[in-house]
Amino acid sequence: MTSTPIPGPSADTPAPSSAAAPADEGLRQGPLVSPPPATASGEAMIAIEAVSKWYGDFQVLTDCTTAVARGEVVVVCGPSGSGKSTLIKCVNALEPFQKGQITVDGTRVKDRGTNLPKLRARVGMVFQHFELFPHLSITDNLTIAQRKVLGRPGEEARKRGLDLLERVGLSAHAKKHPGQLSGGQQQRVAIARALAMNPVVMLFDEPTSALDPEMVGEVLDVMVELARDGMTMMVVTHEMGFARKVADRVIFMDRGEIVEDATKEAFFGQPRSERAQQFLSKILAH
Amino acid sequence: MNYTWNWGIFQEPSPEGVGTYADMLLSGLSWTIATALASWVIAFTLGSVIGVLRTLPSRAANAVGTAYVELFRNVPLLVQMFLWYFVLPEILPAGLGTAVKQLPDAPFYTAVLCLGFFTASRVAEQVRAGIQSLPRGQRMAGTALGFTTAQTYRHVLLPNAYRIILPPLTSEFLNNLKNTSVALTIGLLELTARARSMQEFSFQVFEAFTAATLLYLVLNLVVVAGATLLERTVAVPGGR
Repeated sequence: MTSTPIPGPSADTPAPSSAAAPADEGLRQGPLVSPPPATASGEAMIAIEAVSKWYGDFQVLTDCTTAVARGEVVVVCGPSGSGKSTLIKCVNALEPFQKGQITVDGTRVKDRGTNLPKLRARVGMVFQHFELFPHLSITDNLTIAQRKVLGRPGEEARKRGLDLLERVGLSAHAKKHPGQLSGGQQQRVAIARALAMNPVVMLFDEPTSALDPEMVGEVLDVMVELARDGMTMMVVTHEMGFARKVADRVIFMDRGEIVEDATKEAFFGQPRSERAQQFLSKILAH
Repeated sequence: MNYTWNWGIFQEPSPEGVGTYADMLLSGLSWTIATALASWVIAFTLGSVIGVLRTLPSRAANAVGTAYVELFRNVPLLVQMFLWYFVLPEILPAGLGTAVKQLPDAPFYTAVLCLGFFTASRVAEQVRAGIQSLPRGQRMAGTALGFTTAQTYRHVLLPNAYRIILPPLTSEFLNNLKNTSVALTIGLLELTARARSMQEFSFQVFEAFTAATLLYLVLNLVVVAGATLLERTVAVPGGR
């Protein structure tokens, strides 16, 4: 288990001047993950072993097995209803599963002895619909879990939250509420909120699907940087451009099964399964 | 209609020996307010707990919540008032039952409990509706950040649910206030009871009930104004 210390103030980042700052400053330089995590290795950060899940009689996941190594970026794709969102939600036990086992950074997810809130606090998650807390200011959204879950002092949590907010280019919005931000801005705040917890892995559940097209880019930019900073990421997305750019591996799911689990080159070069070929030809046709 | 109007009646001494008829009505008004506020404390707290129980991912908790709501909202308030006042002391152990009957202001305490438990069932339904109206992802986001179930309710679900249900909750508060008049049947000297005794002693039925009507109306309008102010204070910038 690694515990990432909170970064100190970086000398090269200018102090936020909220009065003069433009509404949206764009991304700033500097690492999103600090200090940088250990470089990619064969060691599995997430190990998914023979996971099956049913809703009543309906089987949504069938015998899914895969692994995400430390520092690896894995994109999960597939047609809607293929179980990809369900699978990623099993990783931090937002969804229970009946058979198999998932291990995150050495901790078994399905185990009575596992303290699930503690495990989830180390797994960052970004949702399709952002799910910022609408009644809290952006600053409070960034700090509440740090304070209530990690027990960080208010000032320290605030500093960490505002540092990350500046990194995603939104420090002028610290005092606003989520309803006053655009979708793309909300999603960047949501990524910062997850990063504020110093997670060892980040899960993304279709992070750009609910966005207007012109806002997809700003969110993907943050994710690309995060990947380049060495964050371990599992990303459910239809953004094949993102997959091509930063993914190490691509998992293709259909009808609750992992049909294809290949390196990016192999997947985009020549998918082995017919279903993956059909899927790719459909979404890359336009 | 053979009726002698006498608007000066309020200044005349009441048959109680101290004070005027106006004093008598105002004393009734203060019992009405006291009963409404005390019972609302129970209704709001207990109602929130029961409402939360009905939204927890636990069948046992759901069952307890459902049983409470269906019991307390499906028996007429008047019957519940009689059950608390006349039946409960009889089924308690003899000593305790007698002590309850001899309690000073027994009608007040009984009315507070009865109204509190009755209104709680209605508050519970609104709290449940409020929580269930939130996007499912809100609970997930809280959970994913490492919040326990209690923390997710405390910091995420309830603050948003209460904001949503503030208007119907205001109506419920007003209902509770008006329902205090049912307590006249167990001898609570609240506003309606006082208006009735004024009518019986003075025969000025129109004046007595005109006064009671106006007092209820003004009291409720004050509550409505307060609720509107509260709604504005807790409104979320940019909407939800």
